[in-house]
Amino acid sequence: MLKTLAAAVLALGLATAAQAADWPKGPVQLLVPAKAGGGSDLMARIFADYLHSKIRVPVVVVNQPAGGGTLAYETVRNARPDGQTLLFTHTGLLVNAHTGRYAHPVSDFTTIAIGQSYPPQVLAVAPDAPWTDLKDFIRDARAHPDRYSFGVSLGGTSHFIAGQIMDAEDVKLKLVEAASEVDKVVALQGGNIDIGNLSAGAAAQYVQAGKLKVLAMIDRDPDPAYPAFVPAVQQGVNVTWLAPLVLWGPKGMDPALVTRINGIVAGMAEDPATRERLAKMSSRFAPLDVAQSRQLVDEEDAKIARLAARLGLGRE
Amino acid sequence: MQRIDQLTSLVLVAVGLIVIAMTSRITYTSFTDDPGPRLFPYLGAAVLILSGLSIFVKACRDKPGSAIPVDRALMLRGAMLFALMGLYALAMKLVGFYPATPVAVFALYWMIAGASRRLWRGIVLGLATTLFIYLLFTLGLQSYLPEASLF
Amino acid sequence: MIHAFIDLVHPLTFVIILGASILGVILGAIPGLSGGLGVALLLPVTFGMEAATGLAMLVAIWVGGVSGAMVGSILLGIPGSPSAIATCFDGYPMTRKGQAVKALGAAITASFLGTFFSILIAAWLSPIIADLALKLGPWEYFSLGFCAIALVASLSRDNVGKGMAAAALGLLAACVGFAPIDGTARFSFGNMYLSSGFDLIAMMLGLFALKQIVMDFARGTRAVQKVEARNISGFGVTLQEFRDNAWNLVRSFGIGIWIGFLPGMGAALSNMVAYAQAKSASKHPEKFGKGCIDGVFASEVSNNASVGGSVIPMIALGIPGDGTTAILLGGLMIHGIQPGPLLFTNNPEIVYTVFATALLSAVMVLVVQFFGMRLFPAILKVPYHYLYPPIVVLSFVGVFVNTGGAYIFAMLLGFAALGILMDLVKLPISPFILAFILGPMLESNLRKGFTYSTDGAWAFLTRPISAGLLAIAVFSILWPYLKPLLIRRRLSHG
Repeated sequence: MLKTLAAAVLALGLATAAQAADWPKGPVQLLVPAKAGGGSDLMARIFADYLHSKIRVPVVVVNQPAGGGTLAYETVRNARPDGQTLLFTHTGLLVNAHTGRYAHPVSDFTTIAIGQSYPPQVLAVAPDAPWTDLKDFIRDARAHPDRYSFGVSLGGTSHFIAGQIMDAEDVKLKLVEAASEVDKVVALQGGNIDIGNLSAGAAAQYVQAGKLKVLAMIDRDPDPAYPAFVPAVQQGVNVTWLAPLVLWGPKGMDPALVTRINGIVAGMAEDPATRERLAKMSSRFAPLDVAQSRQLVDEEDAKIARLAARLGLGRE
Repeated sequence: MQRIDQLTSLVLVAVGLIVIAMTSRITYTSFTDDPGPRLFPYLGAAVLILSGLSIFVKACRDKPGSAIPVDRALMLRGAMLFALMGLYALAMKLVGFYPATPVAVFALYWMIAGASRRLWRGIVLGLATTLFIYLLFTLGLQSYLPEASLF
Repeated sequence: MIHAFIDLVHPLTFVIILGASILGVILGAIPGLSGGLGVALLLPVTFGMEAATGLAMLVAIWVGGVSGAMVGSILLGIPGSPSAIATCFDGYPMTRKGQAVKALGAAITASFLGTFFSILIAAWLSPIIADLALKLGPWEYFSLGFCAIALVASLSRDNVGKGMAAAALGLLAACVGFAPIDGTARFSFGNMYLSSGFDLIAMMLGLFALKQIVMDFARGTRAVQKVEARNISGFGVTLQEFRDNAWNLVRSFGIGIWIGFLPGMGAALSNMVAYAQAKSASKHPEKFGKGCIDGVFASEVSNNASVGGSVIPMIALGIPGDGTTAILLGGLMIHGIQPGPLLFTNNPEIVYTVFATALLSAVMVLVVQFFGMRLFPAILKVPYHYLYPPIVVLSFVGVFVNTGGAYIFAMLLGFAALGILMDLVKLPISPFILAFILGPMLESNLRKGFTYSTDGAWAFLTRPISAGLLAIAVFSILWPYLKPLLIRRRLSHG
């Protein structure tokens, strides 16, 4: 009896080890909850190209924008946990889970690795706005509650960024809808909103052309490409938003396999072709091991959960 | 057309009323001055009901015409082709794109060609269509096509 | 500009642009596929190319796609993409009258004129007119969209009620899924697939392609049409026809470039609005829909003029004029070129490449189609049992490639059934589709209009452009009802 059990355990152990070594067993599907041609899709294709160059099997990017990403999440969550079906997306998954748009928490997935980051974001205002930095704006906003409007995608990531400012600095802003970067640029210049977040790259040009003014960078660390933009944290305003892309698999993946895939992803830091592509899109990559990746996702998840409750966006 | 128009207008008004009833049950969290997600469906339903009523009034003024000439044979043929397309969709979901397509093209050809059908022509058409899709989508555009969910 | 042209004359680039233009025409002509889809799918291919070459390839596919979409519309009555829906209205009846070559000739020349001149205007005037886009707020966008729907709904002159009913159904169809702004799920019954709403491509293919195939089969095999391909010189269009349509061409061009220029609206909208305007301004509106060349001119000039229109804000401001320009902007970013107001200053060579490629590609498409025009009608000699099965397959593949899920097949078949039903009760399809396309944009601008202004809904009426557009909309809906009253009064007074 004991012998059989031992044999079974051994066989199981061998099977999992074999699973890690076997991977990939054919084309890997990388699900992206966004349309072909957009920013998330491009990021995924850079990642897929890199993965393909390492594992030598096709890595197929499958775009499933349906249901605000829900379809892609569900496809991966219900897939066999063999590493053949993976999800590549940003922390929008966590936002959707905490606002009730998606019914499953992140614990229903296996966090495998953190990929590259999205380009840095800044907070911008109209060129003739009276404020010189974020601190200045916040002082004014605190004196005049509900006067200044922040253009956000309500219920989306930017809503949480605005919520973080209101939460950390105890100010009241009027949150209005301006979801896409285009909407924000147009509304800021047209004077329809007072402040909004957009990517540093686009903002730099508008600043140079005298069409916008940047108050602060939202990322924690300054970016050498944009020396003029000072991070909010350095101004004493406790606002940071990470937008890392995360590689997720279905729940219950073999730890050996997870470690192996994580190791391959980490190699992206040493791959010159990929680094060059990322640099062109002002995206960065810093390798994190499995434990670090999970810690980062858990921290973000806790932060988003807290903000969702504060903003009244929590699910019923 | 009179009878059909009257019937259509009643259906449209009914749809409008159902939409209003469903819209009133939508729950949402509201922000500042936003009128919320109910406004627009109400607006659409109102336009639908008003235009439904205008169709009804116009239909009543029109000279009474004959009822719809229901051609059973015609409807049966339409339903058959429609069902075949439904089967094709189902087959793609179950066995994937590549096994389902040549068979489906053959079946569609067989049904549409009627008396002039030839076995070989159908087979060639099925295979040629599949090859074309393979060259354009799988090889050229590298896109992902339905895969089997059965195995 | 000259330099950009010289670069393009480099044999390899030239071949790439030619190939890409032809691919665009093919993708555009196939129901369910479009140049936009081609641009999205081939974007990753440009990773490995030089920025200018990659961009030239994408622009050429786009230009080819918009021009090619009319082939399906004219020959089969099935639009290749939403930008050529209005081309069906008169293009297909012309084919049934045996004038397929003439219709194609009109569409090809109109397409060329639209693209070529709109790009020229964009090249010269971009920096000057681009700032106009910043002057318009949500109020103007809402009123403009509403006005467009009213104009197209009032096309069904004998029964405006039916046009408006179809538009209302389209607006309600657009409500299915997550609402804009707050993301509340509406009318989705907890279904994951419905929560993202209906797909435009599935709707168009269901309502046009599959519906028509089912109806044709039900009514019995149709006779193969006769085509008068002989005795046609040049483009098959007489100079007199151009002269008669001079004003129509100018107006449709203006509508196309203006709608293309506005962010978020493009060729899918402009073709229907230009057609509606051509019909209501025509001296013989009764001929429209029965194979009138004016309708083909209006639709094809305007949808191609939208190409140049949407390039203006893209180049001058980094703002996409429509879905395809949004992808082109992504194409710039993968090469480290940041779109924005300084694109002209920082990367003039890229800007000129876009313009030069678009012009060159427009000429290539003209030449290719000029020769193709005599071959295209050969499709008409093919019996339907060879033609329809591949079209069914392409429709299914087209919707799948757009969304990546097999659930979309149910949507496609559902819209085919709806199309048949709407046909039987004579509800027009174009206001339905147009309202569906504009629905989300209308709703978010309506609600933004409330939140952005301090005086709520009044802003829609106090802002002059917005008020003017709303007045046109109301007038065009009520006119058919008011006209008989006015005539009666005049009669009783006289």
